[in-house]
Amino acid sequence: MKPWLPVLGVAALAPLAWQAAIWIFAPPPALLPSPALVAGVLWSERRELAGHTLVTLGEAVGGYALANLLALGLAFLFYRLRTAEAVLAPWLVVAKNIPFPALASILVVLLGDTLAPKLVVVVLVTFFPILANVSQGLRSADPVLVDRLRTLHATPGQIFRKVAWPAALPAYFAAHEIAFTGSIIAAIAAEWLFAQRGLGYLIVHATTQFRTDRLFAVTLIASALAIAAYGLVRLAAARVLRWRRL
Amino acid sequence: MRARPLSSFGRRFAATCALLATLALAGCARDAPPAAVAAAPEPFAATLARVQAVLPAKHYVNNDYLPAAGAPVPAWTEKRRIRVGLPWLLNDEEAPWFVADSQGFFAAAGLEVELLPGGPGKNYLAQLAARTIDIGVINMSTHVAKFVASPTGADVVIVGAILRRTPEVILALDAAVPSDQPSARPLTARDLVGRRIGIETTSQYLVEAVFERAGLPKDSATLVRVTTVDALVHGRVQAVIAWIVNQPRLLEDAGYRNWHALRLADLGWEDYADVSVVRPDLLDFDPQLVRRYLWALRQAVEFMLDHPAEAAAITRRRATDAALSETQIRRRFELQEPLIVAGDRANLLRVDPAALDRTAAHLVRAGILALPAAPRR
Repeated sequence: MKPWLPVLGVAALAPLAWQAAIWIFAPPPALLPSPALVAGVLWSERRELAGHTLVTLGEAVGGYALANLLALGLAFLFYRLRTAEAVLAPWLVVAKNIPFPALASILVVLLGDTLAPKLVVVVLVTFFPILANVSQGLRSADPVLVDRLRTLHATPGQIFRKVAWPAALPAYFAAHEIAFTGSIIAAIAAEWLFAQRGLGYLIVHATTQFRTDRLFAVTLIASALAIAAYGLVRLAAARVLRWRRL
Repeated sequence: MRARPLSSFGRRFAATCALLATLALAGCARDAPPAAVAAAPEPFAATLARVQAVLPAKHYVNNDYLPAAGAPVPAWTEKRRIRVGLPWLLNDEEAPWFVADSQGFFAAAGLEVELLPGGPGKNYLAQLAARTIDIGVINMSTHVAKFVASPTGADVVIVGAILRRTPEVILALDAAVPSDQPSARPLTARDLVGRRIGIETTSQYLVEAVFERAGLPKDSATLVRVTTVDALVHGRVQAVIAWIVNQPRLLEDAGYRNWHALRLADLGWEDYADVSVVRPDLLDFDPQLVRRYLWALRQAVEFMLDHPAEAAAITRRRATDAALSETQIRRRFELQEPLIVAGDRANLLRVDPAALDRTAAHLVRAGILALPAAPRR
């Protein structure tokens, strides 16, 4: 069976199940709008939705790029300097677990209504899975291969390039599967807290306008973005890690 | 080095992504439709007429169940248990319901009331529609208008309001007055020109209305989405949209007595706060229940006005979501009394549908409220 068939099957069946639930349970539209109503919003407000989606994507990708820089830098530092990991790791766990809604008012006071607080939230949410996976991946390098390269007088840089980094790549891509999709949700959450553009802002706006149909439309877009992000990571992994299937 | 060709799935996925991205970008990049010849703005009277045609407040406001001053308890034979969704977390905003419960007014009306705290994420209008509560207390009457107008809303009816004048203000610190002294100078629209004002998501129109009424351009200030008084104290913003009964008190507690405010009610902005809302079928099938609830609520409001110290003591015990002193609660009572009485104590809780029509017309003109194609009923 083609791998995309089940995905398409679920995508086709979901609106039918949704409509069936409405027929059977008759919930008020304030709780569950019909698929037709939501589809109507997606079509009639497509330009506005596209504009807000681009804003969210920009924040997600920008924050995610920063998270990668930070996480890869720290992972490399930990690889070369075990003491740094012992000193910093507990504090990174603390930073990762700060509930960012608690930081919201501080971030707005310090950074204003700019791109910066949204990037901070995306980085906070996404950097740790990358750091943890890459650190683990670098440590999992085959010690026999490392010793052999050392015997051959390879430099630390050569050992990193030839053994440690390739060993870390599968874990790095596994981290992307979690963190890249998470970056979109993080950007939306940040906008929900303090933005005037983006899908998170639209959620707040739809809520205050009692537009459940618009709320569901935004949710569908966010889900589509997350699926696309996941697919891109899988695609990139299939290309980069093709040696694993040899 | 030559890249390995994509798998069949990979090619399809890449093609789908490319197609979706192209469609999205095409949608975004499409030129705006040619500008129509600039039409003259619709006169306010015409907007009001449209509101009265498809969203008349007389359809979602009903004062017929309100008790008159000094009215005896409505007759009842069967004790009833009801669920009331409150407008916010359990703080002193909920004082009328705490007093009605603690002073036995609900019990005298034969009601056993379960008070459900409100707050972030609680949508008691939707819960009313879903029949999971009997009465919802909504913090602003404009929310009810939006809910009734929404294609995913429902029919609901306002049967009474605690604050009969809007508590909404634009709040600032008066730099000309030391922070330990109260400011006697009202804030004006001109004071706000070129400033940064903290707003809630959809309260931009309030600031724009203030500038418009002062004959100033609507974009005379920079708007930032933040409403905490911290942002005001630290100078991140120079003014915030606030409730006169709430944030000024927080500023005073933090040592800033020099606040001054531009009261939207003084500009003629008509809105009601903490409004009790029911489903229309409750009015059809059990109107006496609504009368009993409103009677108890009115007794509680009268008690708060006549015995603020006792009401504050009750509220301090019951407001478990906020650590408030009786002094803080008394300050709120003091600030909200003119909004409750609205110059007419005989008509406590009463809502004027004509005022809500005018407010709805303002919201329509500001693009905040989309009128339905036809009235719900």
